[in-house]
Amino acid sequence: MRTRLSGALLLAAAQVSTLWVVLTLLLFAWLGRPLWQDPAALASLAGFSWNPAAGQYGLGAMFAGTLLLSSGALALAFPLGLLCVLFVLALGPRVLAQLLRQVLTLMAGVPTVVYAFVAVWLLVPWLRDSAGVGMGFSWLAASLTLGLMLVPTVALPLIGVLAPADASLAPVCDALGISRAQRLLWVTLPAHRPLMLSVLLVAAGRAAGDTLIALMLSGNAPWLPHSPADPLRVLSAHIALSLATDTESTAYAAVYASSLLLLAWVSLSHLLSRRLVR
Amino acid sequence: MNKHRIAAAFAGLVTLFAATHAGAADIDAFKGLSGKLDVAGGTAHIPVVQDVARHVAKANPNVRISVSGGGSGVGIQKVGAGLVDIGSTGRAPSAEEVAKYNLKPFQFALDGVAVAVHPANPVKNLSRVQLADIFSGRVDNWKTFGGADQRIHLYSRDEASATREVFVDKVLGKGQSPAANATVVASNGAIKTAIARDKGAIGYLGLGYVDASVKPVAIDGHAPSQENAKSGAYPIVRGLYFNTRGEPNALASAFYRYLKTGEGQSLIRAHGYIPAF
Repeated sequence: MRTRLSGALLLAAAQVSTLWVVLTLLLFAWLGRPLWQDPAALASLAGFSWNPAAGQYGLGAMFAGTLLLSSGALALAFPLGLLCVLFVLALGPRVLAQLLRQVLTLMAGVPTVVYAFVAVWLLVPWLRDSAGVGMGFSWLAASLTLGLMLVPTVALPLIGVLAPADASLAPVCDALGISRAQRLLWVTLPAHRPLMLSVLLVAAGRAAGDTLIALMLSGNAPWLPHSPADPLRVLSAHIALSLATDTESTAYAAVYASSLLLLAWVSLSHLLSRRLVR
Repeated sequence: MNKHRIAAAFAGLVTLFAATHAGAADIDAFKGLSGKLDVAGGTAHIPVVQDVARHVAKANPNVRISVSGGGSGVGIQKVGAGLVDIGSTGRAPSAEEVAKYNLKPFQFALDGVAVAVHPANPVKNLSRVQLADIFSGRVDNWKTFGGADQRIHLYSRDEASATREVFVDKVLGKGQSPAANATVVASNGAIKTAIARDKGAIGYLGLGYVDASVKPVAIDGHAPSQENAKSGAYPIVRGLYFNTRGEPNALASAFYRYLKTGEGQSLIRAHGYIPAF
């Protein structure tokens, strides 16, 4: 009885969440009316030129920016996160491993604006003046900061699930003469591939949605960057920048198009991940 | 005894408080009035009107001032159609608009935009043509203008910025936009901080935001000072206007009177504008 009740509650919760997403999509579509009614503006959406003064509302550069920044950040966060897992569960001396775990937990609680602020004052001038990487505000600066922020997002869930699983495999592996590191790398991790994929996708979702790090560090230039030293603009930062524009304008309506695009991207990657996990 | 002393001190405080507040305050422009004053149009005006609205709400709760954006064109349309009492514009209304709606413009402020570089940059003066070359990305090294051999780092603002609108209109021309690879920051304060910390930087910001941390450059030989902006010698300036259809009503007149007081003028200055009285 009790399981049936909780099952029904969970199902209801899931349906409400789904409905919520669908309602949000519909709301955005409704609020973006000025844009759908203007064929020229609508046609320019798919382009790469953002210049509302000239009637160009291309979101291509921002969408590409979101993909570029997310991949840059994940390319840093995922391997680093795995290394942390390896250190905490297998390689590190007990005291240091415990310490790293504490640090990761602490990092997970730091608001993104703090990461962004510290990076604006330390990383950006260093990139510009010491490393000589362009203006400092760049794809690279935002990727490094976002990547660092995402390390606990990758590492903590993996540690949480793998630690007991790994411990339960210990007697068998010890009997076979397999070391701790070998056990984690060749037995425990491969057995949890779907978990790793879902952790990667949660991190990707956070990377696409994070606004302040991108807004404060990426330089927000609405174009396609030629190198990691160049600035770029992502959808979330674009929404934040456009929110202040005059609410009657087509540029403001483009905020809803940006939101739809962002939501569609995050939803699509989640659907894909569920396919892959199966 | 002790009780009396406390009571006396309290009475003294009350008298002091009443005395400081009973004197003819600037906000008394709205005394005895009631009703609603709707303002719509230019976005640059919003913070000033909001400040006035806050002060009025405290001093005279019978008066309510509401403000919305929409841009200068919307301001003219709405006041012309009688939807609002005051239409705000970031430009003088054209002769056609004045004739069509019988508009009475009231200029309350000047909005000047300074172009600033890093304090260590030797460049002191730029022409408007040179500025257009820089901000369109045609010239990208300070050497061209007698500076160091250093790439020019462009800092710009987003489309919501009235500062950007004035700058683009006066320097690059209407409908243009700065080079696509310019770093876009979200506020006047942020652009100042960015310029102050980057040796190759150039950017534009409201005159009111300029301080010692950045170096404003003269444009066509005219320093960006409040005097030059007021006299018209400094080129990147525009007037900020409120427009009524016909003569302003009692509330609108009170609103104008208040803007002219010391308190009103300091509100205008607080948002980086130059009072035009």
